[in-house]
Amino acid sequence: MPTEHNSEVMRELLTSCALELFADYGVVLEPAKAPVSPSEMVAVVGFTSDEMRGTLAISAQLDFFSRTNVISSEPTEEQIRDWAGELGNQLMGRVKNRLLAYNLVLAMGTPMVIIGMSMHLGQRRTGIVNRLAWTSSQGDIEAWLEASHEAGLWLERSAAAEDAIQAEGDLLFF
Amino acid sequence: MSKKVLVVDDSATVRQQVRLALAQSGFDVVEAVDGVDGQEKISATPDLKMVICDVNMPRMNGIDMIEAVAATGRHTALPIVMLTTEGQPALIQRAKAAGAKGWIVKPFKADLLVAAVQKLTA
Repeated sequence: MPTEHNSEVMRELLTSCALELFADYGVVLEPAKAPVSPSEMVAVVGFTSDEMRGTLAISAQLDFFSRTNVISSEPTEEQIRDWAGELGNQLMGRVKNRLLAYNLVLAMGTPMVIIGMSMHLGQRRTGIVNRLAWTSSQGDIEAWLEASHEAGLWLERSAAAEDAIQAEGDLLFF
Repeated sequence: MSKKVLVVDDSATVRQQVRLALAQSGFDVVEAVDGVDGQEKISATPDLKMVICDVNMPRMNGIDMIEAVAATGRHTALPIVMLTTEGQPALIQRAKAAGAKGWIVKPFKADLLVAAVQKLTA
């Protein structure tokens, strides 16, 4: 079934991209074996293409985004908010770039950050639904990726397309 | 006198990260929050030596901004490097066609960014 297959591909991409992204910032994520702490901040980024559209979100307690902040050891709420949005943006960007190897070109929006108490996100019942949770020494974090796609879409990796992808952090001079 | 570098990014965190990296190497950083602001800062800062520009931003994205700057014909010698989560070959080609000198996919390595700025502003 295309949806189950595509959902599994997206789950693998979301997992590897999250682990790599946070490792780049010195945060080692481990799969959560128990329910994670209720979220206080959610960064949401939408994406779309002719074949797939959906939303990615990351959520955690304020402390997580404070402890991992790259600008200050005592960040203001605005710095925490901006950092959460940038992490959501970079995670979505990484997933988007990995999907180029599957010949799927997404356009993504700019992140929106929501702050609240004990937030719970409603879950879709159809389409691609991936909800992943991790623990780390800086706190718990969840990533959500929900999407719908055209009936004929079957995500399949192409080695040729993969070779054209520029790795994160690399500098390409023209 | 310090060389001025403009960083155009809607994330204050990224602007601050770039500022910290470049300030340590003696550069003076000017900030803009989107493509519209970036265009204005380029016009208003004649001694600018380089631009570091995001792609996905509100109001005007980075590719549209550098194409608009190129269309004026007044900043042909101003080096521009894109710093973005994007890695789409079609966007990279558009940036190259508009005169950009390089492309970095976030997150960036500070030493690599500084080396690129030093090379392009030398």
